[in-house]
Amino acid sequence: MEETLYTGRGTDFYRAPVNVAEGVNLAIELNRPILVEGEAGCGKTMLAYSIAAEKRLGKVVKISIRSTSRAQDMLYRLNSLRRLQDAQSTENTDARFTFPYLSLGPLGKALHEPVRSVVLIDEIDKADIDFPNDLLDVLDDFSFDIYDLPDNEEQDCIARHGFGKRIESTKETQPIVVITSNREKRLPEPFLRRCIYVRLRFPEEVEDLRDIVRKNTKLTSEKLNDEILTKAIEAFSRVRKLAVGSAQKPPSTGELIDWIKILHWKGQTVEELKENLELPPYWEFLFKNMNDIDAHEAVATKSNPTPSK
Amino acid sequence: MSQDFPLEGLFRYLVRAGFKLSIRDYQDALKALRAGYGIGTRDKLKWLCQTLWARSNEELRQLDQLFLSFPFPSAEQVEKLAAENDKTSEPERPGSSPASMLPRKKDRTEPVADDKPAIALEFGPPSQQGIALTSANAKPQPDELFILNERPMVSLRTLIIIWRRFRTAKREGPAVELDLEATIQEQSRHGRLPQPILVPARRNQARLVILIDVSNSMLPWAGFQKLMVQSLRKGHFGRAAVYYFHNTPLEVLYKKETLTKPVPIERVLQENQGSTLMIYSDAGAARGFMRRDRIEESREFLGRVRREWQPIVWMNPMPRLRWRHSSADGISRLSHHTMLQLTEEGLIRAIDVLRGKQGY
Repeated sequence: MEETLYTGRGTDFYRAPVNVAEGVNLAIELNRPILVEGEAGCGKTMLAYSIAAEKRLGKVVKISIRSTSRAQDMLYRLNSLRRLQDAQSTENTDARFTFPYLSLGPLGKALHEPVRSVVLIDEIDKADIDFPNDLLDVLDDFSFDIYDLPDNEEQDCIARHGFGKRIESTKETQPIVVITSNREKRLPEPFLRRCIYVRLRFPEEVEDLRDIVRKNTKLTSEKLNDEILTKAIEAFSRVRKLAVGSAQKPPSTGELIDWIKILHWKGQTVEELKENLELPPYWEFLFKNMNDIDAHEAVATKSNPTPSK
Repeated sequence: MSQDFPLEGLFRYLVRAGFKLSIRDYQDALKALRAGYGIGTRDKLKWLCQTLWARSNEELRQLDQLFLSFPFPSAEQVEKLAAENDKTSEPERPGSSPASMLPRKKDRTEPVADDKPAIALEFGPPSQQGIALTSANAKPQPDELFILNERPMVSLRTLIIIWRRFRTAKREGPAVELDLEATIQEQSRHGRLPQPILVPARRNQARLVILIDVSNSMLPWAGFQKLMVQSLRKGHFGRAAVYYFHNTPLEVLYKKETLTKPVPIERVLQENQGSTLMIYSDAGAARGFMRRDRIEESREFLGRVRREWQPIVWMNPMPRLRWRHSSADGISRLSHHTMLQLTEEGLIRAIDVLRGKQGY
């Protein structure tokens, strides 16, 4: 089966740099999970959606990780409490067996289903320290066993749910696994080894930024003319440049998009933007905490001794 | 056969340099090459190797540097090798002359011109024809050779995992967990279940006091000391407290590593009743002197705190061999505590001791 390569440019909401697209293709070729790291708000999650859209793989199976997430729950679940409840009624014969209470988790489903899908494991670093290692085996050969299912119930289970003891996917249906991390916890070495590492950097080119904003705000050039957009991006780049390194959370693409939406909504003109590029209108919205706002104001006022207020 | 495996020399070199790579990583690289990745320019090949094999900034840098001196296979070579490789679907491990595939240190300093085929560029034995390095990329940067390997004695992650071995769980607090066994018993006794039976959740009761030596002889491990304190927070202890001291713990301990915020030892003992104790100090082994007064002071201290804190382990960052003929030797022989060398194994042993398993 000849597959088309992922270009990172085929969708109208996202564009990936060439080396990122290349990394994605490599991961698909080698059936390895893709580990995406990068600043918050630079489109880690969107990468998964863009792969699914471009390769026409339908909906993304999104698994949001919490600190209580267990790897087991991604694969399958056994509803014991329900069984306990059912056991109280003498008419209910289901409770004698295990299989009626089994269901596949999101990753289990993606492996079992006969079509390829994109599985997004979002913010894996939020999970407990053992989580990635527990997942490693499954991501290694894209199969797992349901240990809780007794051998003699396998046929019944297949009849009712369509799956047996072993869940596996063929080479054609193996899901493309995208894992994002914010580096809150260091991931275990064997896990890192298993993944293809993709680092998303903030796009510095005005061209790229303009493209990203246009794609995400759906503002055509009639609604928001190029002059304003370019000036706004210039102002944004200045703000970001001052903030990188000092701010706890320097503004990223996510903030840029929101900010430009605000500018458009408030009907800003180029002249207003030009006044002070380091402190453009509504610049406070580019930051996410008070210290960053105060620090930026101080730095910007210093570097620009006569700000025209 | 070894010429059939492009990048093998580099791969072997990396494994020897401590990259944790398996043969599968190598096979994946071959697979990727065959599929057309990393072919053409040096940068593309470097990108492939870094994407597949490097997992930290340090490893990225190492590969960056290696690629200035490593030869790389041409497209024809790869094609031929790939075809060859298909025949023997599993690449056997060739055992021949790895030395010829190591980077030649000599080449590093002088740019290699395209018309000099004599310089070691081939992947296989010297007889195999290779291709030239591009001269533009071969110039070393002035600062690139100064790579310091900053690896802690025990990594943060490992530390956290080791701390988590230290568990003495007790049920405590509100009843929130289902007691399955009791619930089933209740059900079978009455034939019905009015409500499930709940018990309090298990909580870790493990208590640890760590006393850290911040005297000058401990300076080489200052980074590790921070790591250790940082790891405690994620160690899921019932309670973990850190105090600092200078040379020998005496009447007063300090809350800050700068030896400020003093706390009298009596208060510390009182606040941490029933805890276990870990002392982190070189015990004079770093300087290598024998000082009887230090041994005596340590004896006194250990004797004093052992009524409140038991068991006691002493983690020494200096290798055990270097304890000899220094105060550490004398201190390690004192009773009421166990001195261990601070390694991963040493820490695991220490946790066993702290949990009351005497195996030492």
